[in-house]
Amino acid sequence: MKYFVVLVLGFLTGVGAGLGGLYYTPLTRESGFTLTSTDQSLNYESPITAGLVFTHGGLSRLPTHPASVPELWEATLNKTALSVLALAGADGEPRAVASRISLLSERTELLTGGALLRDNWLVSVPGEGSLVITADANWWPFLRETLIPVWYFGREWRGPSGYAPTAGPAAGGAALLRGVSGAYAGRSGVAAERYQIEAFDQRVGPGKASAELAWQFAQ
Amino acid sequence: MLRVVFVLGVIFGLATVFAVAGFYPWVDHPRLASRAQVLPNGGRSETFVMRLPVDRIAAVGTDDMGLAAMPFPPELDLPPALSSTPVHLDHFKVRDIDGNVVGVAARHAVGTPQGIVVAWSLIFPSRGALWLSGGTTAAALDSAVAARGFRPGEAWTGDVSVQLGSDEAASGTVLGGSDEFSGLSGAYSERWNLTGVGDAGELRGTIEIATRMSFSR
Repeated sequence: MKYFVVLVLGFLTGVGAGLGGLYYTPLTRESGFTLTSTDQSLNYESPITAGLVFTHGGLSRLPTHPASVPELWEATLNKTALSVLALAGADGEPRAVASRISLLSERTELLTGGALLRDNWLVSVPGEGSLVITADANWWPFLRETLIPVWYFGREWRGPSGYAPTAGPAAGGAALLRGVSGAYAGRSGVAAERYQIEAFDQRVGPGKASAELAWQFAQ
Repeated sequence: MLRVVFVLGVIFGLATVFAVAGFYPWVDHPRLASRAQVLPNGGRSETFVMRLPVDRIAAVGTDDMGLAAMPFPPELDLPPALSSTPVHLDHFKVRDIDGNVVGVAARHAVGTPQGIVVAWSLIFPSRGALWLSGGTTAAALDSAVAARGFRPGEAWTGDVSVQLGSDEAASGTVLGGSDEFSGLSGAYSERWNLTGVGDAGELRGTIEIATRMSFSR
């Protein structure tokens, strides 16, 4: 009996040390892919507070909007979110529209990969055409530094903070871009995102945030 | 001996946590059986359905895009800077041919020098993304229902089926996609079967996306 109790204590100590190691490991905290030069760079604000539409499966405490937009409550969709955004150019004027369908990625692996979200973008530039971007984003650094301490432990947010979450699925960690129509038809390339969170609210999460979606076509 | 047992317990605990973190399927989207049919000459066909109005999530567009671009929810509006060129954004829950909700779709139609181009991104959480590229004409549905007696601002009931695109055989091309749809190509048809228009312009009926795809060689 004495040996069993010691074994259990050792096991619990190991589990605690393992969880601590996972929480603080640098393996899942690496900054993601960024582009050094871009063909196009567009900006948007927090989809949760400033987007045209934001809805999800109802499992998150984030508010949807407009208020009457349907939730994605079906069992096959309830880990999915839809954001509809106006993307602005460097002058701040809207230049493009985008639909982003995000879902928890089945590639999520917490030991070395992080908590991955698969973002499926459909971006259209009126007068030019449409393209799709497939991006895996590692949200573990944001979860660890902001979401878990502030939302779940009630700690004060230490911001602003910036993230470069793009982590694939292309080689080197880039997001994949493919032209669909118009001037972009038949073209392909890579893309990346960057976020700057300016304010984090206990109710709406990243209430004020700016983000950049940039891409570069293959030559 | 107690120290050895304790260390063994610690190692076992660490191994358990790392194994669960590394190998446990943290995300596993529910998957319904695909309703794809094998074609006799190779390839496969699969049809997806969207029921209006229940499957519509959000729609917005410019006035020149007609009935289909009526804002939903009604308070939705495009930024004025994006209203000088035809734009229609639509989002639906997608069903398989048996009526089960299996995905989410975004449809963009935008004006270009070549005409109005349509891009579909159909996302099936357990299967991947399917991308379609086609064309349409502005207010294509309006002229079809007007020919059957619809008057703007009034409710209408009827039965109209409109296939979008300039080609009678297909509305556009399948560009492939991600995961299960990676490497596929082919053609699709987009058919709007309308059975009514409400007082405020909301559409009733179904949209059918019928695809014929095969792996590119």
